[in-house]
Amino acid sequence: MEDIVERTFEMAFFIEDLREIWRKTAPFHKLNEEEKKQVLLIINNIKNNCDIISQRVSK
Amino acid sequence: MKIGKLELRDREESFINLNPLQTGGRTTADARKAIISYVDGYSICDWCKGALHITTEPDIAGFLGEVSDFLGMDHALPTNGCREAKFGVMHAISTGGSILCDGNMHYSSEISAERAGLKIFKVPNNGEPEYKINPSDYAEGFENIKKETGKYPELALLTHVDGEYGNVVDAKEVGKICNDYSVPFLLNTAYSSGRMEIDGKKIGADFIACSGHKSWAAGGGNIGILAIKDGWQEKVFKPGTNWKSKPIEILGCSSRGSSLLALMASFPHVRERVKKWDEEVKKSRYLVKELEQLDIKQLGEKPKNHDLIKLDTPVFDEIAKTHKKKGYFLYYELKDMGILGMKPGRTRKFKISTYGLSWDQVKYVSECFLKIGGG
Repeated sequence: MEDIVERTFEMAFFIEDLREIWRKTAPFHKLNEEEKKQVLLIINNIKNNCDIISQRVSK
Repeated sequence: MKIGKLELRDREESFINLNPLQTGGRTTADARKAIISYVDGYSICDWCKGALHITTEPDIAGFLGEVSDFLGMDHALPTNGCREAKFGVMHAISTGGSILCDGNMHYSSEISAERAGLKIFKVPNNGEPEYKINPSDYAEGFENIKKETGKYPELALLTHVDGEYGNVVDAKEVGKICNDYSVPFLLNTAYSSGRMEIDGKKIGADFIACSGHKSWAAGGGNIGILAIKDGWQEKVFKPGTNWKSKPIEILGCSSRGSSLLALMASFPHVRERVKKWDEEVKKSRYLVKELEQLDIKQLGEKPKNHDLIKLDTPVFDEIAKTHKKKGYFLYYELKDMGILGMKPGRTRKFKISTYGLSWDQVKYVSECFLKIGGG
């Protein structure tokens, strides 16, 4: 699988992990420390993938 | 937010959803990832070996073996849903005789029997307030059918947990009676397997019908399972005359899409979650106990043994009489509090489910109902 395609799927999968946290904490999404860490990690992973894809298509 | 003309559905993310039809089919993150990957038409058929159930990439064949073991049965096929599993058995068995069903059965059981040409007899429930099915009434039912038709029924069906009251029937007791009478026994587990542990061999079931989208955390469409005991393959899994790999009763290949992959992806989670069933029952009992502080009565067996709760709620009906939003007030007040799943307009009797909610969420739901009811 080409790297940018794999990273696109990976981001979609991270979004599903994020959705899972919203589901478990509905309706107010008051996150505990562990959940906060998870959300920030997911966002960071998505950002990294975005950066790599941006660099790749900008070449 | 819209998807073209479609409204985005965010009720699982933005609300606590109490709809009993939906709580057990709420997908896992893994199921949604599988759906995203296999969303295209016939994507499951990339490495087709001639039929869905023998496909090994993805490993549907291996999965069906694991599911058979999980259910305490010997063989399994994917179906388009639980009703298609029930109909498959009925159609394979029927020679135009009769079937004995419980009086709490789902409409799709009755329609399936009718379509399969079976004459329907029912074991009645014991009426208000518990609406319970007495397993020993199956023996009486068999004898009544014999008196009326000259033959015992060709099949017995039990709805393990009904969708109206959430009563759990002693399936093992019904299985014993069926085995004593040599009447094949079909167990509808739409509201049980995938939530609680089921052992078909201990129960004495010949056939088990399951609903993936109702109780196995599967989505992306409809998906069911038909599991059978050894000895029934030739009749129920019979292939087409000219199509030796295609089982007739599921029209060769049943669910040819992402819903089967969702079922497979959720299965490891389902295998774990059934071990926590006692905790789910505790949540349900807790909510009932709290709500009965108001003029609310839980219908169905007591104490509850399932997450589906049917309530008789004069307290809300009384408020609706003078509220400006009439019978819709309860739906909108709950929605404002972040809770959905109630049928709009219902205030006297309604069903809810606590399945899969955290304790914090269950306690919050309780507080909201009590607040609205003036408790």
